[in-house]
Amino acid sequence: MTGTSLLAVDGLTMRFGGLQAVDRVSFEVACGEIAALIGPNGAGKTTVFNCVTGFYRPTAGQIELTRDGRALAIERLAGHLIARAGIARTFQNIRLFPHMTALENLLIARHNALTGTSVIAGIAHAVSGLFGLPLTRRAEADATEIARLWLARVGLVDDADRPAGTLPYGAQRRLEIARAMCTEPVLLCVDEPAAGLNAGETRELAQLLRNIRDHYGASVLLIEHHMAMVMDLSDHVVVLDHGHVIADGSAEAVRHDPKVIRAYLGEEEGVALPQGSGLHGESA
Amino acid sequence: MDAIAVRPLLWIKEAALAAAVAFVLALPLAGFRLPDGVGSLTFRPQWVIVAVIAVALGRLALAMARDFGVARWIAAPAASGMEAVRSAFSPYRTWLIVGSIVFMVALPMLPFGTRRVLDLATLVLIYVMLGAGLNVVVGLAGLLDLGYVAFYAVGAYTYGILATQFGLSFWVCLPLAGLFAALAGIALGFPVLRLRGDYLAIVTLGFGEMVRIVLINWHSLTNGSNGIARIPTPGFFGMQFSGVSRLTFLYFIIFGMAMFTMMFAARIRVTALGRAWEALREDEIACRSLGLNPTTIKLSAFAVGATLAGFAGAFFAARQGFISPASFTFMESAIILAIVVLGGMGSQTGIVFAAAVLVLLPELFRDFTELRLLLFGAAMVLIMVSRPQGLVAHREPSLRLGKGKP
Repeated sequence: MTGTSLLAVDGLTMRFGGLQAVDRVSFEVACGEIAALIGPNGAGKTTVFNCVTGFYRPTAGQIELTRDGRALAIERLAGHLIARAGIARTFQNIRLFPHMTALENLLIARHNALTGTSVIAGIAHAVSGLFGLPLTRRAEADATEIARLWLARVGLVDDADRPAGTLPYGAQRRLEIARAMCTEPVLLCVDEPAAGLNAGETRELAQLLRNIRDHYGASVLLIEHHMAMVMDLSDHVVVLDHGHVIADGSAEAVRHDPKVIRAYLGEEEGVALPQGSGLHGESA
Repeated sequence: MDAIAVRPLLWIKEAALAAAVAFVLALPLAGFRLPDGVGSLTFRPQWVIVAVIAVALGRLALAMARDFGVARWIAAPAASGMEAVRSAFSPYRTWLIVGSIVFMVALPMLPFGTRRVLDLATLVLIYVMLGAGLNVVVGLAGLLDLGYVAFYAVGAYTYGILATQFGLSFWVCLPLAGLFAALAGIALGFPVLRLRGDYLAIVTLGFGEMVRIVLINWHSLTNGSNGIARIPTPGFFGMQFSGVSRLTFLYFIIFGMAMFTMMFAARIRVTALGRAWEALREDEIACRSLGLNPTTIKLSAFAVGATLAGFAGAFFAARQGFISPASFTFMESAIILAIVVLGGMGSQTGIVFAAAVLVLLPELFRDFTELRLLLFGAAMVLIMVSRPQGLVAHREPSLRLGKGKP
């Protein structure tokens, strides 16, 4: 499957009143890759993200998710159906369920798998749950098992019964990614996951994203300002500036692209961006 | 005590302001009286003066308490005290529950199980049921509903009309009352799907009033403000009760219904649906990003909460034998909401305590006649100042890792 197109964004345009936030943006995310969406602040990254994950309805353009050989028009689906189609996301400002435990947070992500998606199935599940029938118990046990697996993968098993809001910041970031992964997505969209993390936590996060790509069966679309991590991690980088795609290619190619350098650093041309954390400070 | 800022000028300013507001309110509310049979108002300035002085002194005391940090002396020990009580009793939880059930069952046989006590216990249990139902909507799903009494009314009128017009028995009408209330809940749910917080509260408030006004004006069906009289008492397999045995029988019915409600509410909280309600309360956007359909989850919360109110309403009609729109005013909604908030949002134990407090306090103060509501209000203020998060603020997770169900 690796290499075939998973998500195709074509001519995506988003206007808020008179403001053209995103203008005819096109790019693709292939199966089994980590794609990064970068650009200076206000470039329209989060807007693209919100269109892909169904939080905005684009003014124009198509977003197509190919799953099991079938193409789905994402821009026409209601928000919660996009998650069911296989796109999961995390938020720039973490949105956990703070008073519920870490385990309960993950179980919410298993809700549809548990109760089914039709109203009848939901009622049947609720009634059977009220009486604690074996079928529901088994389904709950399975869901808990998946949740436990993901808690182990992000190193939070010992904190399973703690309210999510009381976890340290870095743990909350990891928990949010685990929660998104519990919906068993084909595409995981992460919005600035390294924001506020220290160097060690950032390394762990990069490894987690790599594992998600290599072992857990999801491609990753990443918005990030931490350039070292982006350059190190991404198979493919899309650069946005003022709502336009100004570069699209491998990390290496994008780093040397004069247009990208101009967008980040201003007019001085011909200077290749340094390896590592070169852009980190300027972009923040 | 760190950094006490004692500001006597501010106290006086605040007290004066409160006194001014009290004067504006008290002049029309307490200052005039419409005696029976006399066509004119009598002015009684002494009541206005009393109110203004009481409010000014109260505000002064509150301001002083704040500056001297009295809240910390009360709130912290109260919180740790409740926590200590909770953890001291939690090993004996099962026994406490069994014990209180046995006590409640035995109540009519006990020497002090008089008519009045049974009547009060019945009333408390009705409010326990209503509190548990509203708790689903407000405490779990986080949807602030100020018109909950509407579903109570729908349940009551369902039984009232079906019993008097079609001669259906209570036991047939009970599920129907729940069903009609659930439909009303869904009918309310649809237009308010996009609303939250204050806006939701206002629309639900309006819905509650709408139902009451429909009940007044739909004369052919509801007999308007004259209400429905001679609603039959439930029988039991052909047995009919009257006098004290009727009271005892009604007490057992509501006891069974309240038990059912409590068990139902406890169970549904730990199912996937209950967890989804809580997740919706915490963060609707995150819910959507995880593929949960907020529409169905909200509607289910409204429907389940309304069903429980519908059951309680049918019982209310059966107990009173007479219902009219006057029983279903906003005041009722406010009391039920107060039970949920006072009990501690989401806590069932809290609801039982709060229902008992809110029903029994006015009874205890009955001898004070005119001051009754004032004392009631003061008691509530005192409870909320010392326990702002409600009587029982502990949240037990729906399940724990490794141990499965709690």
